Amino acid sequence: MISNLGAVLLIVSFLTTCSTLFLFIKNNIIQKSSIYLQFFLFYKVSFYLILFSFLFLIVCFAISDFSIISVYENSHTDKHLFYKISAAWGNHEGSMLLFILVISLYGILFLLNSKNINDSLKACTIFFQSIIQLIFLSFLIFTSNPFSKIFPIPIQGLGLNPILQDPLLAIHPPFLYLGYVGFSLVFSLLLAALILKQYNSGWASIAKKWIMLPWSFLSFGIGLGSFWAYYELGWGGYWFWDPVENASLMPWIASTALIHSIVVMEKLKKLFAWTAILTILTFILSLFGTFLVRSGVLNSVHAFANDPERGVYILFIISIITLGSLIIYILKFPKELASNNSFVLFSRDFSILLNNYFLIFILTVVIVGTTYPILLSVFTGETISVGPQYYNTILAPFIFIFLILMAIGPLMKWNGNSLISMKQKMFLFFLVSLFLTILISLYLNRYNFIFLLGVLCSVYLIVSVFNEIIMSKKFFFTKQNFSRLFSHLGFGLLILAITLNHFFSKEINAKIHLGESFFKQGIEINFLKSESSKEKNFEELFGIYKITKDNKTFILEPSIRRYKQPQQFTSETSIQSDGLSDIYIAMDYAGDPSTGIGIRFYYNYFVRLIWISFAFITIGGIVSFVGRKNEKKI
Amino acid sequence: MKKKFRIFLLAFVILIFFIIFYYSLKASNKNNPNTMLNKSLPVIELTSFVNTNLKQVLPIINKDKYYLINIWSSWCVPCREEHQILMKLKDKIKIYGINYKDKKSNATSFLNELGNPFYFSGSDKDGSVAIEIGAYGIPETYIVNSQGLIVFKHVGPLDKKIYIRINEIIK
Repeated sequence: MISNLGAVLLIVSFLTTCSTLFLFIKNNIIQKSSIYLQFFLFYKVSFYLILFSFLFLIVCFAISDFSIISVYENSHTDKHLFYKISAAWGNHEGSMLLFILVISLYGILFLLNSKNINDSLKACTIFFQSIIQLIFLSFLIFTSNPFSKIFPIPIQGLGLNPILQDPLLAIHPPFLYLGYVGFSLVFSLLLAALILKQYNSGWASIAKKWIMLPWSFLSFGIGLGSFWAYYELGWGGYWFWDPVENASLMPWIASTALIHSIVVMEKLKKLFAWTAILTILTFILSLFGTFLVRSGVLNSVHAFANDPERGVYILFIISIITLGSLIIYILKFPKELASNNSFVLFSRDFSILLNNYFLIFILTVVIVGTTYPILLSVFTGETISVGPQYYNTILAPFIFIFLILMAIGPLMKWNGNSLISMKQKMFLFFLVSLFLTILISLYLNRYNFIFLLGVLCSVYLIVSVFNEIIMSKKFFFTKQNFSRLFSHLGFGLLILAITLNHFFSKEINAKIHLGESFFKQGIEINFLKSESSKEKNFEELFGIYKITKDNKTFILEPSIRRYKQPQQFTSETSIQSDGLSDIYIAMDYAGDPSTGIGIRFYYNYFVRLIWISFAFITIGGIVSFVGRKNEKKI
Repeated sequence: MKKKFRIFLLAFVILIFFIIFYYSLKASNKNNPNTMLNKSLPVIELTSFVNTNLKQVLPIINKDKYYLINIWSSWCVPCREEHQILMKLKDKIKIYGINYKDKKSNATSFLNELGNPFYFSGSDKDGSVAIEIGAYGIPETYIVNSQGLIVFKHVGPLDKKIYIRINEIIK
């Protein structure tokens, strides 16, 4: 019953979106009158229809209505209610519905927060947003309807992939979607402004928050994903340069470049064309990420839900959206804006331009690394996978220069050479950070060149941020500065943490018998006992280990779960903190515990700082979104 | 004129990308469990994990009537379960192993403990060989005939029923 209702709502929302588009065309193009009230109302109705359809899907999952294929394929009565609900978006169909809901949600948020925008621009933006919504709605209804029926009705479901049964993973995809689907709004806003010839610095001041909001969500989502991989997959690392991870990183890099270039556009009326291209690129990369994850072109550990047939549709959608938006750009971009692009050397805008070049370089490296294996397999049939080695070697030196640039850029003045005035400061920072680096390396007793360079550059950025905080005369600086300082500090800490983690982490793989203990790399591991327990939908085998490191002891209890539906093993890690560092054990899937169990032990140095720095970066973005008051009226 | 040219160029570039990714989608179809059945085994080269100089190219031509390919790993529990069936099959059919994403030391101790059913076992450290032959998950077992066609494929551990079926096929 509910499932039928959901399906009907979905079709009605499709029709409503169609009529929204029709209304806009009729009002603006045929009658040349501008009655927007009706138009906005229709859009709001389509939002509520999608929202309720999604809620109905959740209800179907919660009550285990196995007459629906996607419930049957992804749920099971034995599952905890929380995972029954999160299974609603843990599969392709449900997550596409969530995708559409987020598109629509951003349209509504835009309508609620657009008092500074004239009605025609507002309407035109919603028009483009509805087009995107319609495209994906038709994709959903015609190729992957979440309410498709199955007959005869099965009595039991197939179950959700156990590694997806994790509280973090339940909230991680919604945040990622709020991130990269959110870029659809600024994309629509751009197309609308180009068509209505309102693409100017006022537009930049409005558009900025619609970049900051999804950017913050995306940063948070990436952080969550990384954290999930760290403790659930049991590989001991936080980032694997896996194509699926890269899929979310690509729009993040593009949008970070966009955040910076749009400031130049707003303040100095430069970089108009570049900002427009970046806006389009960010959204296209978001869609491309969806394509990579959803279509099955990737051979990746977590390309969970894939189907090549659907891939063709998504590919088609991306092509159409790319083509359409770039044609609008080519035809409508005002010529007079393209000329003013002169930059003074060593000015703040110049440093932002350099920053953009760096980001585009990093983006290119990631895109090449992600797509090269796909292209290679098309042309030669060979299959390869590109690993961390490639990214680390190519990116590390550029990241170091990038850090320095992030430190000194904000010291410069807009539009004027300020090298002489900041020479002293630059030198002072250098001395302070050199001093700190020497202290750190003496304390840790490590003198590797790359290590020193990494610490030096990240400390340099951190020092410059602290300098600005201390030197600011006002008690509380402007919110915009605050947000930049936070995000930059976060990034400095992130690179510092990654460097420390890279050079000081330890990994031990061993097979160990019950009651046995061994000593390796300054760490003693003692296998005390093993216990087993039975839960509703899995059996669990615990191993209890005593770890002794630097006269501190830790008791860790990793386990292996054997799930019944679907039959699968997962390794549950056990992690304890030692300050900012982690002691981490995962067990291998072994048969009889009496013959010895393989364990992977990791000592992850300063890994907690990585999560903290993700939080800093995100907070910076949120502050900027919340605190923007100096918007212009357009 | 210039604008028209740009749009044309743009459409052309997008078309090329579309075609490339379209083919990549078709190519990745082989990841579906049954698509490789009754198709010929792609050419793969296996390197022994004991001695890196020892190599074996599959498919082999016209030697035995059938041969069996098994993807296994020491960290995979179902592989342990099915191992005794592989040991039983050892004398009836030549077994080629693909050691999936494993450590040499773990793999060797696994075979020392449970016995070695493999005529030849090659290592697949990065999992690329498994992708090549369209593996879905380990353990996985293929039977290939003298023409190099995959005549039987089983995903998951072998059990008694499958053992009987394999015996029927190779008779």
